Amino acid sequence: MRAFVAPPHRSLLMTDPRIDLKSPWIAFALAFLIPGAGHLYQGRTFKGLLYMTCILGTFSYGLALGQGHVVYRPTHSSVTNYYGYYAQALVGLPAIPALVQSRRYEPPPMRTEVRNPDHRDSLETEKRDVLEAPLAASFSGRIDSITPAGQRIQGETTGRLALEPAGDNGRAVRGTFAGTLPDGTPVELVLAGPLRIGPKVCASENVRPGEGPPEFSGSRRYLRCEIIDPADDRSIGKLEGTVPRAFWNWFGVPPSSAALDDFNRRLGKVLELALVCTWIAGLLNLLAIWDAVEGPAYGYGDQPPQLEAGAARSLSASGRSPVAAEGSHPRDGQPARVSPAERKD
Amino acid sequence: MPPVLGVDMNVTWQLVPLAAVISLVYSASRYESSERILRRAGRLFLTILGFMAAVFVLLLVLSFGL
Repeated sequence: MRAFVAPPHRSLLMTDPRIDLKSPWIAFALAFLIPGAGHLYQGRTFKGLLYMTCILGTFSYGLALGQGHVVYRPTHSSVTNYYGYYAQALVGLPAIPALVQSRRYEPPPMRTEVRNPDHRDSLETEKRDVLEAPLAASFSGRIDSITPAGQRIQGETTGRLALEPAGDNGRAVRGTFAGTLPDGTPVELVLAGPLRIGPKVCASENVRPGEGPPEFSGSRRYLRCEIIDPADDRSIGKLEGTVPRAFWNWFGVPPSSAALDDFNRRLGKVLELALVCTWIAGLLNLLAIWDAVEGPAYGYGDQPPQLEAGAARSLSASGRSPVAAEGSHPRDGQPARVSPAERKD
Repeated sequence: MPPVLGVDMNVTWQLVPLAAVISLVYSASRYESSERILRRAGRLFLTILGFMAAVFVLLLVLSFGL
């Protein structure tokens, strides 16, 4: 009976001697973080660019189809709902922000406490109407006010808003607004009192919460504030509209169930297609990562087909690579080279 | 949504570039030679399209008269 001898490490690798894999661990890390980067590191430019174009292109296409709202890590629900994100995460860096965003959106202690489907909605309600820090931003919306002189100011307006917390844990504010009406009339207002404002970190919210059809937006943040008469702090009207929400405060953030309903209503089948594109991109990168670490599965590709077919059969029978099975591994001495005349596809 | 994304056309057409991408990446993970990768990817792409067309025809026949 023959004693078992463990094969040398390199013999386990399906590597043609003409392919320099350099450090497989570095290649693995690079290939995971940026599809194709592992191959570029190894000097396999054609394949690196091919993987990069195909995988990142598919992922970006899916992201664009889903208007940036298809890559997020669910913060509640069963494990099976995470599968989609697991597939997307294989693309590496482009999907990793979603992990950070889920933490920003819902800190870990909350995660374990509540796991009901409406949790995100209640969470957003809690974070609503709170100004965390001074806000200076462009504003667009409606103004409805009566000046101390009795003149009515009403209509669409755009301008610059500056607010800062003034007590009640950021629910009361004080600030100013300087803008213009559509006819070009300049307006300068003093703002104060209780504030209504959308959450800072939010995938998408209804920016028209009053009457009429809802209008969801991720890149805008709803805001409503009282206009006061600076002489006696009496409320003389209101300013209602939106301010911009920074890209990193909506991208990759888990949507509330109301926002999810809105995506489904607006995008329909396109949302499904967008998800599928991002999942496929992640799963394809698995092949690219494997190729960066182990080399191509069937060898270099210049062997005649019958040789490869036999090698593939012996591979499935013995668990070795086709290259090694044909005696082309460096350990075996001579690579299986063929003359150009023998090469056929 | 920008028209360049082609969301107005039938979703089935979106599967064509998806099949091309899958063929290219799969073939690239099998071989190293660029010529071999492209040739094999082309063949795989046509196989996938042929399979999809066959399924389409089958469903068309089965749903005939419905």
